[in-house]
Amino acid sequence: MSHNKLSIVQGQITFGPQQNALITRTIDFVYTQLPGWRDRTGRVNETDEERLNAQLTRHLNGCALKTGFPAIFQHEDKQTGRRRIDIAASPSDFAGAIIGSTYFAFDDAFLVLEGKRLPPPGGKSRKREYVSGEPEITGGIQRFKLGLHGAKLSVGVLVGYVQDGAIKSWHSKINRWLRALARRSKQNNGDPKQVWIASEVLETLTLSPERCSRCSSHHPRIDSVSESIRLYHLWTQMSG
Amino acid sequence: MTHTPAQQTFSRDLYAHRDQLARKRNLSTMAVMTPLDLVDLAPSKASEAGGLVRVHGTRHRLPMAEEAAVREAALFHRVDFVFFRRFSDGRSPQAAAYVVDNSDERLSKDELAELHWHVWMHGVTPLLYVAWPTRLDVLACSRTPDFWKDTAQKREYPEPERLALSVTIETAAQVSDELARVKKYSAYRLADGTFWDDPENKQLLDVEKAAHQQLITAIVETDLELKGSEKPALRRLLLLTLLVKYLEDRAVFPSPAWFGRFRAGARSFLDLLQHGTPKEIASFFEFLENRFRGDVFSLHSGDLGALNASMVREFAELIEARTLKKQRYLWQQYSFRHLPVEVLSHLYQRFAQKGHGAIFTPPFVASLLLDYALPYHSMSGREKILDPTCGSGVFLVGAFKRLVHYWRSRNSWRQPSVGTLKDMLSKQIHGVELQGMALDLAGFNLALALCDALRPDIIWHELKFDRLRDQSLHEADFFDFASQREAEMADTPNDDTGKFDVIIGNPPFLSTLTPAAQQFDSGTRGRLRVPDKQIAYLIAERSMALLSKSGRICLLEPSGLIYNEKPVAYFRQFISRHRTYNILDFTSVRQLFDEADTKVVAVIAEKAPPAPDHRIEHFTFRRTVLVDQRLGFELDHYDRHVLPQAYAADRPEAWKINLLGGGRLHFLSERLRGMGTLSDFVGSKRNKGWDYGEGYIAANSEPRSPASWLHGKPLIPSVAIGDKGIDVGQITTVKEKLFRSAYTESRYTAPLFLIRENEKLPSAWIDSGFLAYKAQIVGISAPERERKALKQFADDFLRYREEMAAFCLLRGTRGLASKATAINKTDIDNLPWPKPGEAWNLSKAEKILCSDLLLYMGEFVRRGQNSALLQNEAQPDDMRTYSSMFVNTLLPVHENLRAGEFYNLNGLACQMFYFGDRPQLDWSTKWGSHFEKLVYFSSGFALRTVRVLRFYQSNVILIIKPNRLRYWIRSIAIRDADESLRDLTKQGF
Repeated sequence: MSHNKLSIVQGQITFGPQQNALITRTIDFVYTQLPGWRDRTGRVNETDEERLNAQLTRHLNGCALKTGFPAIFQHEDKQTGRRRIDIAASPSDFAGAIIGSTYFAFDDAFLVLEGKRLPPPGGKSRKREYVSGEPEITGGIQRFKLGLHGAKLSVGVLVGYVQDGAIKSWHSKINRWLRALARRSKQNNGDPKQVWIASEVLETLTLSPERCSRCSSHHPRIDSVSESIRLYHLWTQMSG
Repeated sequence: MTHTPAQQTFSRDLYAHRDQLARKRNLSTMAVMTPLDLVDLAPSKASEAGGLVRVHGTRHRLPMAEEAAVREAALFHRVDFVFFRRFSDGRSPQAAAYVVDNSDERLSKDELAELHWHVWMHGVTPLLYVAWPTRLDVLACSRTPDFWKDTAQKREYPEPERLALSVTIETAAQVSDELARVKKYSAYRLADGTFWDDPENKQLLDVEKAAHQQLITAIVETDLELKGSEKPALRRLLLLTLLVKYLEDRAVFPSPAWFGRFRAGARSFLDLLQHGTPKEIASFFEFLENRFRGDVFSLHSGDLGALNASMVREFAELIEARTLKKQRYLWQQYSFRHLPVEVLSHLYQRFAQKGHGAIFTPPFVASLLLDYALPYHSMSGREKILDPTCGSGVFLVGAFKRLVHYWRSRNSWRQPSVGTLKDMLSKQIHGVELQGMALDLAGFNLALALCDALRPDIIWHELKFDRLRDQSLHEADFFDFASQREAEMADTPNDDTGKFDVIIGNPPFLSTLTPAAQQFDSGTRGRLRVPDKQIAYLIAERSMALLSKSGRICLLEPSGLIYNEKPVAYFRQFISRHRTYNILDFTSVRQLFDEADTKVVAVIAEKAPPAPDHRIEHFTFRRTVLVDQRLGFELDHYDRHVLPQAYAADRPEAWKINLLGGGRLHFLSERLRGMGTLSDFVGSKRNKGWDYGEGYIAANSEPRSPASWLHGKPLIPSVAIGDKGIDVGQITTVKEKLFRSAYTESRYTAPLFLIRENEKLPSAWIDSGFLAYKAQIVGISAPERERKALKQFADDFLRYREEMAAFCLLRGTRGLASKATAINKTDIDNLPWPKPGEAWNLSKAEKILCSDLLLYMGEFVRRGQNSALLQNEAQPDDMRTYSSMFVNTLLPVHENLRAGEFYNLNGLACQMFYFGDRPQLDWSTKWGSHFEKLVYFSSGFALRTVRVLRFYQSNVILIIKPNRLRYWIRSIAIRDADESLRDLTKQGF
């Protein structure tokens, strides 16, 4: 039958809960679990991004189950040939996360997380991959900005696995790249998809005693469902 | 006291509504009370939008099914309103009650007794509300007739104690208990179905004693006495007699004197039977056959020859003397003026040859399937319908009636002409049937349905039946029919002419293929052979070739199609090739069919393959009072499950998981599956001397061998191992001397851990000695040096028994609907057990799901309305447990969420939650009226149809559902919390 309503939802909450509570709490949850994951006894010290993402996803799911946190994290394996995002967070009742992405689309994800190694592997061409990639669009921030990740969402997360160098210096370096992009797009007035502005830099960094950090940035979008996206950068110092 | 803005809005709306009513009538608020007000059926309150529809005079435009039902009610002349129970999921509305406003006392008690009788016979509604100036009566219409007192022949208006309810406004106003009793009959409870949820009201229904069943039983008994199965002439005469009575009751024959043409002095057909000769009777039928044609009234020459005078006399006596419980004469007490024609269709089904796997479909099941296959809201009126194994045509009659309703709704509700109806029958209604007798009955039934759509004078003057046989009714094997049709359409494969828009039916559930079916099964390449030679599965597959582009099949199939192991690959192929929209699952409904407790599902699918992201809706219908009483089906939010097509194809257990509640259970099942198994774990200990397996099997015949170490030893029967350990008193000794399998002595030697093959997994630790057991027990023994490790295993088994038993229910081999509690060794082998180095790591929520599964869901599937979940109302403790679970599930995200009060009203319960500060409403006094206003005025229509409402306002969440325990257990709290979390996320939180 075409119309089959067996339950009704009416009305709107106007005050009481925190705005974006699920997203905010999930970001907090991930950030809180980062040191525990990194320092977990028996964790194989992988360097490959894909494997790190898979490890982190398993850890997050284990913690969510143990603490009753109502979200499930799904890591989409490259081997499925359908890779679009690294880690997706969905509500707990979403069976797809555990059962497999072959059956369930990612429509249910309320938060998308992209894992990035700092520095990125490979040659010079991939040096700035955390921000943008050229000529291919492989950059972390860039993919969110262009709506290739989380097009319908207005918040995203970049998890930084800092494998070399200090967190603070990566913060400065990335901001230098972002400013350079903003300057360049002012000069060439070219492809609107390549437009960057000065305010897109990473905001103030908060460092934790457990060698992790968080900060955020805000990026206007073109051709996406949401007008802009706020990115949370959750980093963990893997080295040293 | 300060009021929040929300509270002020609530109160203002509530009182404004009542005052507005009073002002309209220029009366004080109290003065508007009428008897119908007592049950919320006053026309001003229960408007057409709310389900109360005026039968006479002007009314708003109604949906087609309702308009047809109201016009049917108008035939009773004295009914003022129909109160509909409406559904939002596409099912046709049900007439929940007829209402007579007799506040002006225009009708006498005798006239009302007559009406009660008519409504009882029609069986269209179970309740008749009669409003007197200051009193309200409710009359039951679907149980033993209350209008017959003892042996008196006269029909009487029931005395107060025989009424379902009789109350005056005064007592209701003064005695609070009385008012509470009256409120149970509130229209609101009829509208949301909670009236029939209440086990107390079960006494108002008794399908066996209701009119239709009594008539059917009486006729079937007559046929038995006539030995109808051996004497086809008498059986045919019996069936024709009913048809003539139908015409007589509908006043189709010109006058009583007309019967005198066939026998001098006869004034009725009964007269003719009593006094006429076989020849006179034959000439009567010959006249009718010549008048109406179509072979409907023909008594074949063989039939004629078989009837002699004494047989006819005996027949007449039997018909005339046929009584209802030896009290009243059937012939006088039933009138087809008020019996729906479907009763005859249903009756005729009984006479179709039994066997051949055919199970006859009750009309209420056929009607539900038609709601899915030929829904009123999307009909074009041009649909071509085929029943591939039509039997006596119950689906065809239902489909034809829908086409007639559609035509009338597009033609100012005029009655169609004879030509229009005949066109519909010959062009749009098609049946195939292997048994000629059944096909004759289908023809009969369609002829009756045609008559039903015509005025008596038109029937008499204009009607000539077409011979449907060989035109639209085909005596054939469906597989031959399909091949022939396919061959005819071979040149025009893209043309839908000759194809069908709806293929609907209840094929026989037989594990034997007809030769033509066999030929299709073995001769068609690129497909899997049908499992179990089940012809019903193959009919579904074969039907696809005959579907038009947008056509659908809607066929009943054995439940085994989705629940058994053998058909897994075949069904996977089916849903992967044909877009399957719905599986209507009646597995937990008991005795759905009159003859057998067959478990069925209906498959609704179209020919084209599904898109990759296609989803299948699986509805798990439950065993409720309404189903038991053949009145309809209850379907709840928690009974609708959506499965991605690819997932359903890969996980055959998904259907069973849904039957047990679905949702997070899929996740749980997958997690448990991801663990190791018990047999793997024990197997890994084999090198340490552990032994694992069932107990001995004794043998009376070869091959067998002695086992001296078993004979005469203590023996524990499986029943001696219970929930609380061993019942030592039941231990006996091994009497047998010869065994098929005795295994080794060590298998029975302590340290030993025994697990009984039972769904609850009872177990026992045997610390010392030798204890024999049979094959219904699985034992794990170990050498002395492994005692500690085995004891640890036994302790863990006890600790996680609930989780394992839950898994066994979800994934085990036992059928859920069966009463048996035994499981087998494979089930024990497959129990989840952590792999070496891993541990049990179920979350709190998962443990609760396991616990509810065992405590409630298994029983709910089996016992339905007799289970704890539907028998009991949620008590304050249940509500507290529910709300605490709800809050705890959301707490990690919404830490300021708190549970507030709960409230009961008219069979519904409401639980309040709030964020931050407690709402300022004075809940103790205003809560009830606030709730009433919310439920019945602001969201009333929605709630009346869907039963489950999540309402958000200010900082408050209200969850409103029926008050049965089913809706308020912890696993449901988790599901509600999950859904609320989604709602809140959508709202920006």
